[in-house]
Amino acid sequence: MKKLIAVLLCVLLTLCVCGCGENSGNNSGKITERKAPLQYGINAHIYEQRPMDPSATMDYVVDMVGTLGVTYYRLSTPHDSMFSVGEGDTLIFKDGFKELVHQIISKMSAVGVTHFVAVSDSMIYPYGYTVTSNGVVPDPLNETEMYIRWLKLYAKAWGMIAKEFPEITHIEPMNEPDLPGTNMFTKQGHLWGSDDNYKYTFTDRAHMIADLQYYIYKDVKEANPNAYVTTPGFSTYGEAIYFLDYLYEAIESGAHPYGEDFADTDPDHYFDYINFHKYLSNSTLDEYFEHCNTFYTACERHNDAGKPALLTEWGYTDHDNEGQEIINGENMTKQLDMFNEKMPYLEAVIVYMLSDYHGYSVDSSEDNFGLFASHGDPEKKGAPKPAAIAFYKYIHNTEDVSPLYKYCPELMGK
Amino acid sequence: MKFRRLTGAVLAVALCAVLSLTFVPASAQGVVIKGEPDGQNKSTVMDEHFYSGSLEPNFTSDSVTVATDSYGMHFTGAYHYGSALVLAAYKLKNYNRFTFSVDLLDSNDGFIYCGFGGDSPSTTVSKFDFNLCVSKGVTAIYEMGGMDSWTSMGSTPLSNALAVGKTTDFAVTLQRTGGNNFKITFELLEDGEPVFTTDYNSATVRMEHPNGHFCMWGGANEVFNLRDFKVYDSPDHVAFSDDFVNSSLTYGDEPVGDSSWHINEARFTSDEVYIARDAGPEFSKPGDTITAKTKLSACDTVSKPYEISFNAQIKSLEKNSTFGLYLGAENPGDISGATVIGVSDYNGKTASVDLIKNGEFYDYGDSHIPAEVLSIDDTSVDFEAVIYSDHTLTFTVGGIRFTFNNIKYDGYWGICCYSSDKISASQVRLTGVKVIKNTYAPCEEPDLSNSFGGIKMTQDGFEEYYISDRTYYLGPGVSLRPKGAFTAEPSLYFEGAGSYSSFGPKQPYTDFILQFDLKMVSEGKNGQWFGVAFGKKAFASIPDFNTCINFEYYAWGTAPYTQLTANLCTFEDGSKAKKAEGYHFYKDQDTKYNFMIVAKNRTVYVYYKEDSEDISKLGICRAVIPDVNTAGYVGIFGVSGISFDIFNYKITNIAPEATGDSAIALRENFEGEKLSDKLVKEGAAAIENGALKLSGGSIATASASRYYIANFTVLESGADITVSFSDNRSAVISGDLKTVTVKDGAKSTAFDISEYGLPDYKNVQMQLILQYDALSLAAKGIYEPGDKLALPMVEYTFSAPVAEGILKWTSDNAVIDDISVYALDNTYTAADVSYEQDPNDVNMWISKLAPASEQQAKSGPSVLIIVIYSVMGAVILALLAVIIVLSVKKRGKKQ
Repeated sequence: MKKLIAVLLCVLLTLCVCGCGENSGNNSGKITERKAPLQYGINAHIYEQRPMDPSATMDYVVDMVGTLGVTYYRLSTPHDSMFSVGEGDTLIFKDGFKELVHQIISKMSAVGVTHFVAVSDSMIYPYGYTVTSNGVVPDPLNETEMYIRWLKLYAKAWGMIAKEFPEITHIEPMNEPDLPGTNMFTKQGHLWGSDDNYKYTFTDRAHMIADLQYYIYKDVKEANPNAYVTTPGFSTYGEAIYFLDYLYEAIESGAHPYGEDFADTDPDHYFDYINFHKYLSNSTLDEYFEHCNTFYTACERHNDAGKPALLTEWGYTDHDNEGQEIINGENMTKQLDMFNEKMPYLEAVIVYMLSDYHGYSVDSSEDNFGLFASHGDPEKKGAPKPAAIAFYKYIHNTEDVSPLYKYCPELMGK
Repeated sequence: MKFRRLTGAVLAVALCAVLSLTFVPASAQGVVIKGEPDGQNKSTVMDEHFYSGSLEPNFTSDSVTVATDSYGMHFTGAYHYGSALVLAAYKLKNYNRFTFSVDLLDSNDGFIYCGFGGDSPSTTVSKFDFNLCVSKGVTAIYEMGGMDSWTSMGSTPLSNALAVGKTTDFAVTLQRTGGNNFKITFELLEDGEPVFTTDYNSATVRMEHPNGHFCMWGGANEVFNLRDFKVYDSPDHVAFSDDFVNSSLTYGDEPVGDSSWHINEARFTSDEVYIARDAGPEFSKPGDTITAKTKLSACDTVSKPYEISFNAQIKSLEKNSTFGLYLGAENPGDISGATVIGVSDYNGKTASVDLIKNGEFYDYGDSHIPAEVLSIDDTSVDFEAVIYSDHTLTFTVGGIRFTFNNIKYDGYWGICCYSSDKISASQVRLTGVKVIKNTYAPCEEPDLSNSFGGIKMTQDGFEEYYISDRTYYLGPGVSLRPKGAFTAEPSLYFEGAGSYSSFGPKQPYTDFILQFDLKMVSEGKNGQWFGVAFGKKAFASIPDFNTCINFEYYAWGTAPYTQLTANLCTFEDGSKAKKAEGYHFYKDQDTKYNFMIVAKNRTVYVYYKEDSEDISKLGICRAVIPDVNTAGYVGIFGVSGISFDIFNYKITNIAPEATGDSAIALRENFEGEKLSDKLVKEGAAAIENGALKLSGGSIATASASRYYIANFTVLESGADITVSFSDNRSAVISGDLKTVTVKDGAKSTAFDISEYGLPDYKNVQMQLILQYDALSLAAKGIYEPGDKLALPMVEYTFSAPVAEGILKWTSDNAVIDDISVYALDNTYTAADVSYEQDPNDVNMWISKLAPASEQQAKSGPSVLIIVIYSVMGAVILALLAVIIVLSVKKRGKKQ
């Protein structure tokens, strides 16, 4: 009888393994503790690259990035400024902009930046294809050939960037394509800033981004196997909090890559990092944490646990209000604590942004996100705000913030 | 081998003689659709002027170099934000008038910019006080300084301004009005006189640098030459002028010094903006040759695959040296086995045309070119070689055409000075080469029609009108009228149309019939028009930058009328504008008009009438646009705030590739069991083996019409085929395929078509066009190149307009493979395409994975299997429990 019981137990065990093993999920890689120190980075608009605040010259920005002592820099490489498209969809770098990027990388490296996250906020199009606004995507159904040409062209551009600039460690293919009101991923007919009549649905956008990620990943890895490909920097704004789920579902659908006979459902062939943005705004730190986790854990919900993440935009606007500046400074320390202690999947957090625009932005709501006042502001002269001071103290574990006043020593202590 | 020479004049005379014997002249009303015998898609694959001073990128040579003279500033279309050509030699004063010419060589619909108020010659564009932007039909001020704000200066009504291939003369005047305020006036000039002026509504521009610099640059892919530049610092004093002959230009970090011009910021390189050269390869040594990098390929899909034209400055020609074109070389520059066609000295003063094959001269008759056409005294000569797929080549020198047969053209080609004695050499400078490639653009896209009355249920359970944005592009300002009491008839509403307001299919067409009705909503204003664009590269591109026919409100100094304008194309008389005689589409907001645009064989025909007029009025061709590329997207559009409604939209694909019956066209290939309901079979006619055997019977259209394009393919016939219309008119094609007899009531007219060399009545495609009062018939062998149907063998004008009737084919033994009939009137009505019937609203993300059942079979147990295993497990557990209980009881008993 004992033998019979043993045999039956073995059979039972075998059946349980066979029956349950397939759907058990791959959650073993879930990141539960920090493996390496959190890295810090900064966003900045360099005037020579994007003529906005004239005082934010390359030399000034590089100097302040070095002063802050961050290791990550989010580098703007807008495709429409970087490339010319010729007949046969040939791509060439525009010399001026390419040299500028080389200069920025060289100077930033010299002041201690070790990681560059390259991002494009514009599109390029196949030769001869005209669009009503930059951000339009050819219709996959009605313009299939053009859609595939566009995918391959955009990916090729990233491959060329990865090859030309081996210092770039992370490729961020696009900025906030999930934003509900975005001007990117629109249909022909869309005009910049117009209403929603020419927007693709969330689902369609996710499918298109899946295609784009696939081709970009392939081209980037061929050009520089050491470069990482991240997802686009997702805004996670509003209903876009579930956009990463949409992206995973698109990959799982077996519809991608468009233009190839086969399906590839492995997210590892689409991106190495999850990349997202989140501003504290009016939410509490708990709400902020919950929001980020809800977004990030899509990777766990889709059997892709363990993907590292970059937070490529976070920070505060003060609307030029001193009271808000003080609150932001207080939140800065708490938020950095939270990143370190409660969000171990984050490898780097990149503040948006270095300095205010001092009235030169396209949208005045963008003016006051700086850790510093504008260097060109005749009164504030680039003085650090409380958030800058808190940030500096935190990452350097020091009370000496005099380096932050190097352009305005007379304002220190005021 | 003997080659014949025929001049164009001789050909024309011969053709006229044939026509006068057999054809009845067409009436003014009945313009027969026929088109040009070209390929459908004409693209310029090379337009080389050697401006860069190099043979690259189109040619190579071991012996020839490019000689250069200066004459203009060349912008290559490169674009770097912030970079510009700055006028270093002049600073703004109180009065500044800049005049200059722009030769636009290529365009991507972008702007050409003039910047004012730069601090220094190195200043980046963004730091100039403001910029004036000019594009075709658009003028705007672009103010910079962090904020991008555009202020329109209005649209230029001149369609020629900034057109590719044209020279446009500009004047921009900047005059101080007080303080740092300046008034700006923009003018387009012709012969030095303004033909268009706008002054920003007399507003002024405030400048931070009133003594700053002037600059110019172009948008990406705007390729142009800047020429004849002048600055006046008073109305009659020229302060600076530059013809670019002795001009100076510095780049970026180079010291500006006395340079007239400077490239700021070092962005534009010397390959991107430079002083253009009146340049060209110079042929001066025996055997000098340049070779095109791209070979010519054999082609049998169009009758005329290549057109090569070139211009040369001939300084001297020698008797044993032939300057011209070489073709069919096996290797680049190896002309020993190639064909050379060119000119050489005839008698020391005039030239002759030579044909050389494999190194041997061929005598093909009179080759002399009269002195009035080409005299050898440093003269500029135009050459053109048209290459036909049947290996015929016409070579035209100064307007005289020579025709050669059996010319091998596939292979390497180029321009050469062939020296038969290896000593003689002509002195020639080549100044430009242009190559046009004609390709056939097959189009299989289905017909579309839409009444705009399709229905979709809202989530709230209400009905609303529906149109698929997968199928159609509706640009900004274009939408369906809402369903309800205020919409008497469903329509598509263009409301305050702007530059991008366009409607059309998201699929391209090449040959098509477009029909729609239109009713004006707004009152017309100068500068407003609606129109139809065709051959668009993208369905959403701005119509104004495409070839299109515009219906323009015109009241510039005259009583209002509607003007037809041909944009980026011309009417058949070479004009670009003509009055719409008898029709003014803007006269009120109540009259509905019917429009029909027919595009066929690179020709566009325009028809219209008032809705209340008899249908026969739609048979009157109002305008013809010849020799235009129609392959691309088709869009109806409006501009400048115009508002109108569109009704009953239909577009029919009449390309030979179109297949399948549709709501608005009859296409029957006799492959299926069921005959199209638009056809009626009579008598002994029977369908066998995918073809129709007439066998003394007939087949006819089910409904009557008056305007048809009918295509049919005859597989075989030994007997006549009669294509008749119900009002005692018909065309009888003889069984031997030698004659066509048109019966016009009691009158018969026979046409001899034997000269066209059709095969015996086998495998012949025929096209019969019946149009109001005119008939044409074309035919070709099935296996001939696709464009031969453009040449009608028969053109006939009836003594009176054709009455409405059916088309009927009758024959004793003809076998017909397919029939397609396209109505040129309102025989067919637009469909109501509702949401649930729309086949195009489908999921575009189709999984490529195997079906779920197959995947499970490959990758693991399904849910069902898991359930079975679970049940089995439960049973086993239950058994175990029972066994354990029993064994415990047993032990208990033992104890």
